[in-house]
Amino acid sequence: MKRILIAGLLLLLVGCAGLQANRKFPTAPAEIMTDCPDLTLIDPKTDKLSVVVDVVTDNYTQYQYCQVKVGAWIKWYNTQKDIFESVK
Amino acid sequence: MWLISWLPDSLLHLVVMGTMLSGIVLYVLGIFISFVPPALPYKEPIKFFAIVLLVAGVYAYGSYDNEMSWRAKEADLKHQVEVSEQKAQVATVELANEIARSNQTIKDTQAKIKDTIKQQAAAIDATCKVPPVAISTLNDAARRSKK
Repeated sequence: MKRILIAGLLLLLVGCAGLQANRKFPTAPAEIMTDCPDLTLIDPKTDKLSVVVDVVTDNYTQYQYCQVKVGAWIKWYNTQKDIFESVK
Repeated sequence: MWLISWLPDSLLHLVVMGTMLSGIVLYVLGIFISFVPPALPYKEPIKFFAIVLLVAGVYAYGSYDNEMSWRAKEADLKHQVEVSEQKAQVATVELANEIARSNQTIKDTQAKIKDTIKQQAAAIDATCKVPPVAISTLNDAARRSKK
């Protein structure tokens, strides 16, 4: 009888069980997980316009890579947010 | 309930139905016991015990139903999470491919421009000499100011 009473009390000593569904934080593509590098500087000893144009081209290219990176981050965030919010 | 959530569905169902059925059987037995005079003193206790069992069974059935609905919700949530994780992975791969394509386009364009600069270097340098102040100004503009 004592054991039954203990078992009964044990059953009453229960809390509410929450819903168990662990969610993993999504991983962003490795391509966008790096910082944008500093711009290339022109050699101060040069007086050639072709060298200047070359470096300026490098920097424009660098900007475009960063533009792609930032655009990708925005797209990634919005997509992942939509997917996250679709779970209800 | 936390403790009940550890028990398998079939066992819970068996216990709940067993309790209710025992109550019903005992109650019916309590009615028919009137026809057996030697067992007449046990009629009321049996009926009382039967009602207790029946009430407990009905209460447990309610809890069981509630538990089952929570289990169904949990299973649905887990399924949704699984689907969302797959979607997230697919979206990431698609984005990575898109980035790779964009980067390749930028790389190809830069290579073409660099070629043009190389070919036209003599023509570019022929008419203009860049003063040092222009270079230092451009470099200052390119340097990131850090606090």
